[in-house]
Amino acid sequence: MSPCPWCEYLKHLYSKDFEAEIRQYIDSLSQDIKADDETIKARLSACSSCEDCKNGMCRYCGCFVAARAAKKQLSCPKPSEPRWTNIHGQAIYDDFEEQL
Amino acid sequence: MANYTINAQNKKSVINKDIYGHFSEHLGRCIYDGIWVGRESPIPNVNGVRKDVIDALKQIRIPVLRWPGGCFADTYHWMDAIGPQSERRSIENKGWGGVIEDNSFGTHEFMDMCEELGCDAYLSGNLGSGTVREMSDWVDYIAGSGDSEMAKLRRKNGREKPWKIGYWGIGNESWGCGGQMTPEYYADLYRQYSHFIHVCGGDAFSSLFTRSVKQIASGPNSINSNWTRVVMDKLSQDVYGLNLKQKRFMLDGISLHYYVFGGDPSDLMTGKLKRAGDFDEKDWYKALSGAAAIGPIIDMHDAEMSVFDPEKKVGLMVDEWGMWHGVEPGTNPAFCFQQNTMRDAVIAAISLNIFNKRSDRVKLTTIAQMINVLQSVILTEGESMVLTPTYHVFDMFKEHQNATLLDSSIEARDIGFEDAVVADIFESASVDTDGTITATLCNTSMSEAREIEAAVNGVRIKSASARLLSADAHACNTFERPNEVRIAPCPVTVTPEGFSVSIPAGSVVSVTLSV
Repeated sequence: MSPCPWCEYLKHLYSKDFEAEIRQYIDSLSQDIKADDETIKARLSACSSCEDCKNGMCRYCGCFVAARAAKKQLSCPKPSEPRWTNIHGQAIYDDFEEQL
Repeated sequence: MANYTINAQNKKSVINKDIYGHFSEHLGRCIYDGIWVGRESPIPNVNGVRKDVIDALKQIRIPVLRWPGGCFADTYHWMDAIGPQSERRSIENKGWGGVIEDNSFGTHEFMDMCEELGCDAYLSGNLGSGTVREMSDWVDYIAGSGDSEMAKLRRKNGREKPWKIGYWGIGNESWGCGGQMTPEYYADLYRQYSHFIHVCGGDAFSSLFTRSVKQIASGPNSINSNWTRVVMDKLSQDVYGLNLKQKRFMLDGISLHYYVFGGDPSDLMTGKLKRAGDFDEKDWYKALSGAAAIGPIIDMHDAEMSVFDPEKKVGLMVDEWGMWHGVEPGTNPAFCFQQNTMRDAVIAAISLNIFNKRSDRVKLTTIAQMINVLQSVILTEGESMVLTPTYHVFDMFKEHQNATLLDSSIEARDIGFEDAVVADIFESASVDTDGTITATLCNTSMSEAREIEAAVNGVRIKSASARLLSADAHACNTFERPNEVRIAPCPVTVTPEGFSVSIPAGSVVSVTLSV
């Protein structure tokens, strides 16, 4: 009997090191599309207090937030109240500073 | 130039509208955030379902929607997802990422959505981990019109009238994620479950002999013709021993699942599948030839089925098909979120033309999956929605729904590479009840345009119009650039014999002929 593609795919997933893959992906981004470190940290700080971020993943886009935050042209997909809207403004930055 | 012939007087099978169906599974963001955002969401919605999605699906005249799986169906217990939302039992979607689902999208929400869309509901019952009682109760809950406990429970939960069930699947991929069964065991189990699926609103005795719900058996994986043979054999017997003159089948359809992988199929198991936009010329032809292979595979299963059912009363239901790529970078691999390029559009056009041509046996297909998963027609991200190139193909082919297939042929030539050969043109033509003819063609060449010179025999063409889907092979619609690939008008010339049209490389065209 031919193998079930879904079962085979899931077997593969269970053996995966997601964290290493995300780090590798972020490291592979070229400088012209990568956000600066300050922006990434501020974004992740906003994500960490968001109720729609579970296990490092955003429910609105299915992204690992660490990967999404690393691409400068992307925005927060949360409807109506995007958490990154004021990313260059004082509100989120202050919050980030406090956490530090 | 390619000569194309349509014999308008030679009418063949009706192209069942359900060939243009879709599949919604509790996988990744297909249901939650793709379809369901909840009634309180700031995203515009109709009873909790995204309004932009409803409008887009109405535009392509979605005829049938399959739910809740897929592999998920054989883990789904429908009673967890009825009644007040606050009292519903949350579940862990174990197969797909282990996410917690609050079951806010359940039977009522799905059936109401199908009513809003004006499409048939195709539900997959849980054979793998459920019970006969659970499945028969679900059918009764949805469609029972009498005073059964299930019909009363439905009324208590706010729905007075029964809903209409279009199709009922008994198990999914029962050879794999649906229970690792042998065809012999599955067929016996199917008979048991099928026997108890009745909506006993009327004469309970007669309901034993006439199915009130169209039932679909779990079918083969790709080329496993033995499964088809055994299941057809066991489900086409006179189970009541009544020696009825007319043979009765215990099924209305048997499903077939067929995926084309973006690269070598073994890459699926090592996580190395290429992303949707990551392909070269060889990958292009490999994927297209893989898609075209479903034609001979359907023919093979049709031959097995015809041994028991030469009149083709039982349909072959291709209720999972499409391209399976690697996930987009940075997204959860368990969500299977992939992009969709012009290559996917051409593959959709190849597949749909093949299904049309075999509509004497193929009665339903549902592409996997409708939103945010494999070869999706719609992608969403928060408030934004994108229509993929595959969506536009469904829009261009929609006039085939319930039209009558016409005899047609084209002078195609083989192109590609040694191990990835594909015909350069795929086509099908149909006529609707008003006499309007629709012809859909796709050019599979990655580099060469084709001039089509068509002879349409048996009718006189008054006028012609055409729509074209054409862009760079790697082009896709993103949230930043949602209209990179879209349908445009296409020049078409009426000739004394028929019409002529040019199809750019890697493109899809639909031609409408008024006669």
